[in-house]
Amino acid sequence: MERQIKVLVTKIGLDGHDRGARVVASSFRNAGMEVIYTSPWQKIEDVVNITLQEDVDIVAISSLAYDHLIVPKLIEALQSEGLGDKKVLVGGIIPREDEEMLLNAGVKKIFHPGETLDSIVEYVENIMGKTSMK
Amino acid sequence: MEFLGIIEGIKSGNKRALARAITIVENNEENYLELVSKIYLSSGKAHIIGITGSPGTGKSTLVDRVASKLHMDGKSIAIIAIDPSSPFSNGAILGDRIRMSNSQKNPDIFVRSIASRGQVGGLSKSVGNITTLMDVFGYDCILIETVGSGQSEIEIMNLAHTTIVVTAPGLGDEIQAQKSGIMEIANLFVVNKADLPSAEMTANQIQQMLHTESVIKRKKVPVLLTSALEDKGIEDLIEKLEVRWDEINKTGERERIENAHATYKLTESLKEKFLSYIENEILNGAEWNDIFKQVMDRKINPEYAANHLFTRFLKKEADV
Ligand SMILES: Nc1nc2c(ncn2[C@@H]2O[C@H](COP(=O)(O)OP(=O)(O)OP(=O)(O)O)[C@@H](O)[C@H]2O)c(=O)[nH]1
Ligand SMILES: [Mg+2]
Repeated sequence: MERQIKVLVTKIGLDGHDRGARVVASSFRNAGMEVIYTSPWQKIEDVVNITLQEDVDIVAISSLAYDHLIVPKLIEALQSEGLGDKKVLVGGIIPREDEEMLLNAGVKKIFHPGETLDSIVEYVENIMGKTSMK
Repeated sequence: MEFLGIIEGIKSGNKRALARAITIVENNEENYLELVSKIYLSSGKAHIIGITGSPGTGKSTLVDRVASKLHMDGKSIAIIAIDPSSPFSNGAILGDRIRMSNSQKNPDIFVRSIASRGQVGGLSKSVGNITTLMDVFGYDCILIETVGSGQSEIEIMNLAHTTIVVTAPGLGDEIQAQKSGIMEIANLFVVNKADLPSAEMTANQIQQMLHTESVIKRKKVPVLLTSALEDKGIEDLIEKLEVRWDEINKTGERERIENAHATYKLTESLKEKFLSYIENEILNGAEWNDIFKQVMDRKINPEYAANHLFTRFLKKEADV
């Protein structure tokens, strides 16, 4: 039986605009993944807790208003709980000058506006070792 | 994490081990049967509570409030929240956590979201195994929120000691419930959204229907009003849960329930084994095509053909 990819799609920080997160979550679902979806404004410790309990493979953070700046803290918290193997992705409005900082902190990949949903899905399938069926 | 490490981890309260074990069971990974077999030996302590009812009646919100309150009372709590998988993509959006804000903020409450994966029967198998893992981990109460439709409502009865059926005013659920037989599986009836008008009326209608049934079946099912949104009626519900747990432990009812559970699990597992065996031995067997063609040509009736195939199969087995 094929193992299904499990993704957490969530938002941290103060911004509550979650349309983008919803669209991405639907794309993951349509590609056959199982998506844990939460309300926005999650605290770092909540995200760590969800990641641990749900044993997801991917933690996808949507950020439109500088919430990405706390992602390094999230990664640190994940690592200190022994969850360093989870792949953290960030999508949304991320200034180019912050990219390096995020990647150095351990973010696997950053998706900017204009990225197609297909390519996001494909990326996830690739890092999870599943070849796209298309 | 190594296999033995996982078993040790579960027994010593390592949540990561529990989470990993659930994934192994969910995906039928290589070692899953060995894992659950080992774990099963230490199981049988938790009160397993199923929560079912139509979509949108407030099951997740209610589970959240009940879990928080039970936790405050000193109980350790795990939640299994099941959402449907898409029949088209097999993917799922597991969104029950959105309504479980209290539990989500409380790291002592273990919440696991599960996709139904479109399996009939199979779902209760993996959920049953997950329940066992949580039980051995040491949770006092395990709350299972089902997909609020179809067969899962009836299936939950084969896993839970206590089944709560949740409804809300204005759904016309009262009539539907009577038709679908769901009244019969309820140990507790909850009319949620009691903050809305006509909740009382809904409760009365249900009470009346249950009254008729209880006369026949000699079973009394409490009907409670709650507002999960306003956190009202939760204490009453918890009291009823505790009374029931005490009662079924004292009266031997628990043994009767677990007897039914064991019967169900054992026969379902056997059926599964037989089915896959039959698939290999008969459906892929030499005679199948020939018999099938005769059925299609209306030379043999399907039931007769099945009898014939089965007799031949038994004879072949006896010869081996
Ligand atoms: N007025 C009112 N609304 C409620 C109450 N409980 C839940 N709701 C609302 O009802 C909607 C559905 O609640 P959920 O808890 O997601 O219901 P559910 O039965 O788990 O839904 P599914 O899992 O989708 O079947 C949400 O908008 C809740 O805020 C209540 O007591 N009163
Ligand atoms: Mg729900």
